[in-house]
Amino acid sequence: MNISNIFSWLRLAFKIFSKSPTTLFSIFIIFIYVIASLAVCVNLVPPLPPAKGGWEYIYQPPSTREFPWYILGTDFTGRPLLLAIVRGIPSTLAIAFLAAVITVSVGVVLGLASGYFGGMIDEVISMVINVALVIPTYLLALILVVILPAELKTNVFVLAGVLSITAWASLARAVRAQTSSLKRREFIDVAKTLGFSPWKIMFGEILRFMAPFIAMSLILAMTSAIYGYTGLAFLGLMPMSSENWGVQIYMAIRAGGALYSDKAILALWSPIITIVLLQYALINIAKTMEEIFNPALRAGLLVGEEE
Amino acid sequence: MSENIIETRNIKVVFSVRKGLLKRIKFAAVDNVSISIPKGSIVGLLGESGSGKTTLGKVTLALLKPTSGEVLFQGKNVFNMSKDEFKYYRLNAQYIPQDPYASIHPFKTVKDVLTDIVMYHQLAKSNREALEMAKDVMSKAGLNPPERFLNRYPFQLSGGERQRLSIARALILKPAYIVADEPVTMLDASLKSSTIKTLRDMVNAIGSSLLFITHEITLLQFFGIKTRIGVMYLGKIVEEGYIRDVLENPMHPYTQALIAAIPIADPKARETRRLILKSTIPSPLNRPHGCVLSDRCPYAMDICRKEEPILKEVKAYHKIACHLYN
Amino acid sequence: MSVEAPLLEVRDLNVSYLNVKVLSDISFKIFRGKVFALVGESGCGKTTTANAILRTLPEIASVDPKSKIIFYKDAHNPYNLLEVDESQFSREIRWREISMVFQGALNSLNPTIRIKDHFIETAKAHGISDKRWILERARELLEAVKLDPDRVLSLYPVEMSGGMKQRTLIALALILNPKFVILDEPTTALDVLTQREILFLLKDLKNKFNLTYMLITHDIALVADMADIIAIMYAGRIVEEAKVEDIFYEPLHPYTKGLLMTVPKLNEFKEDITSLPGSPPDYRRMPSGCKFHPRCPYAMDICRREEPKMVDINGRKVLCWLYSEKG
Repeated sequence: MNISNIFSWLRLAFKIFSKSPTTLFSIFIIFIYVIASLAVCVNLVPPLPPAKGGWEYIYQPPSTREFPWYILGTDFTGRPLLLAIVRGIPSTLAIAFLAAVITVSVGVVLGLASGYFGGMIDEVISMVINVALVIPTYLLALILVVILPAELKTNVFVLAGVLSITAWASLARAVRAQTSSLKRREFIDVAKTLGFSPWKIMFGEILRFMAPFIAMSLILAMTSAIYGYTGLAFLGLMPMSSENWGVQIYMAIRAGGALYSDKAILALWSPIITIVLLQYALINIAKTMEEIFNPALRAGLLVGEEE
Repeated sequence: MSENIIETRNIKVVFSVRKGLLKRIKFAAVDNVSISIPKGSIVGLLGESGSGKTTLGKVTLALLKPTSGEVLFQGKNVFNMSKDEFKYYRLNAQYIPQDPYASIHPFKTVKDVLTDIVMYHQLAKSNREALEMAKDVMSKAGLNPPERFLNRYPFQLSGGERQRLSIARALILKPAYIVADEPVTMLDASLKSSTIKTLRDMVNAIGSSLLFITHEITLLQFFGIKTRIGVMYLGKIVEEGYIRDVLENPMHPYTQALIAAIPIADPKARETRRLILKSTIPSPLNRPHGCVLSDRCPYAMDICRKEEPILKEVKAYHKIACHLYN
Repeated sequence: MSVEAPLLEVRDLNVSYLNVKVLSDISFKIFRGKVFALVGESGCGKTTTANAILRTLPEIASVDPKSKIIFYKDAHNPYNLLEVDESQFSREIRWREISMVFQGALNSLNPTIRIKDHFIETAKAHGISDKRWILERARELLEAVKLDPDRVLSLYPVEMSGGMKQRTLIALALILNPKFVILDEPTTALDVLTQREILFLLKDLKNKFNLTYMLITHDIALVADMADIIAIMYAGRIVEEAKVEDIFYEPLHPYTKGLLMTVPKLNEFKEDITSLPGSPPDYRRMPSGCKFHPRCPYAMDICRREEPKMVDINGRKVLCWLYSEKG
């Protein structure tokens, strides 16, 4: 796949996204989030001011000073809420993406190997998959997070790893099932006589066949990681950082009494909406993956191309 | 004397099938079959579903390992070759499957399918050269003009066009041996002859051997009177000979039934043709004792139910496995 | 010429899918007790015609209001099937008067339910819910198609051979005792011996139950054995219609001649294979004039310019300039 191929593929993807207002909107949202992350990383966004403890500083109502950062008021540390939320985007996206990549890579490789080779390899991998499926994922993540020393708790890679520890298992099972049924199909017989190595058959033929499913799984793994990460913080297991959306929600309820009074209401809803918007966008995009990767569903566009 | 490109000796392929929770039943899909395919020749394998013809074809391609027996490629045992010998064999033994819908990767364009092959085996030194090779074989396979088809996906091709792509794909490596398993069965009747003609001409042009598997005996006529054919039923070869001899003088009752069943474009013929065989083909799990056809054969004698007849030469180059001729 | 009323008459049937015309001026009559064959290559419109009769066309299809499909349920009381409302049609006509045997090879059977449930569901979908009655009738029919009811009723389709599935589909079509049965490629993808058995079975059933058949196929040799009248279809049009002997011994339309040429004859070791050059046209880009002219060895100037009109020659019909005054 060279440069010109990638560009024309991106153009095609964009054409498909533009077909419906919801998907266009979703792509727009993702775009905004990505730009925001980049802005934070290159320091175009100001750093958080020092925390100000004390009842008069936390959960202040919105104000227009230092526009736009105080339009949502302050959080539980007296710092501007909007700034805190925006500064949280890169780590969330990074963790989600990394967790998804780990989940999908491990799941796909193990599923393919087990489905294609069968025999002993299949028995061993299936056993590992079954064990992983039985472990209560969230419980394991909880325990790990509790055990981890504080410095590692904020490390993006460590968190991604913890969140994907057993998530790969159900994907592996699905990929294994598809692989073992596909390997009986005639185009696989032909791939063998054409002299393709087992690796080429697995990754070039079988994987390609499952491309829409894998793309969709990747995106859904991201949404799952985001919920996982937010959930851990919501349960109070993460260091109390302003930039963590889950922590904001947690503190809004605990310290701000957001369930009973209006004071911290913005601090409760803003992070929730930020998360929901991102998840909504991701799920909409997941649905169009089928169309992007499956040429038969693009029939309408292809006819146009022929002309 | 022409060397045999492929030779199978006493091939037996036994499958086991689960019946109920714990029972497993074994049956022989191919039972003691020996065929030889000379270099540069076309051999027909005639049989219906359950005859074992596809299994035998796959065994000659090393897609399946036989339970017993040998497969020789240019005299060497295929399952006992060195890595290099096997690689040479692998590239020289290609497959054209029956189903035009299941045999091509749905997400690859025609160009991808063909250029992938030559690029993977480094037979072309550049993308441009690979494209030329693809266009060349496409045009020989009847996909003309090639430019019209290069960027199409399989779902944009008709059944006939897909089979031509399968043919192109099998022949782009110019293999010495090709197995075509019912390549035209799923095509419209009007397309069968032109597709076979393309296959025949391409195979003859590169001097390859072809094992043509089918249940329609009339199609084998297109390969010329010197074509040898074998008739299979429930895993055994029941008759073997030159196509003209077998067609004009079918000796085995099964072959006679097959020929009598061919649709003929003549309304007056309808009254004179009857069903020859009784009942319907049994499941391969329930093979009758003795001769495989003994439960359906109108001429079955006592010995047929007890003893299996051996494939013997009865006339010049015409072999048959039937107690009627002992 | 017989003055007997037909069982079904299709008159000026025109069907489009979105704005692409797929059937043009289809007209024919089918008489009681006879076998009418519709022959043509894939995509010529034969299955569309069957779907139009059974009113199972997809949603994107639109039938021209001038089209008529007249059903003579009893000889003096004909009515246009296209004018009957859907609920009455599915209650009284579909599967009770007219039914269809689908192509077995196309996975027409639901792989997740047993055969006995196929019978129950089919009958239920057409208004019968008495399970005992349905199963009794299913047994009768399975025996009539030479299958063992005890064994077959509890099988799943995947456990059955091609021939068994086709026989089951035939039995399913007969469950509500229709008099007119459409057979869509009933022997395609079956082995030649099984094909023969199925054809014999169909003839047997026709005599036993007094059925009228419309047989759809791409294989003209198949109909030599079964058909009384044959209509050849091409590009959504009927190009020739005649009695079976006339079609085989005196074909008129060049396409018919072409189709007959592609049937391999026994003992004809022709190295030079004759075949029909070219392929059927794309409905979105139809050629001008006669739709067959690009492939026709007899094409004249007028064939390129004007579409021919159907010509009646002694009771047989042909759509070709070679046989009309202008040609």
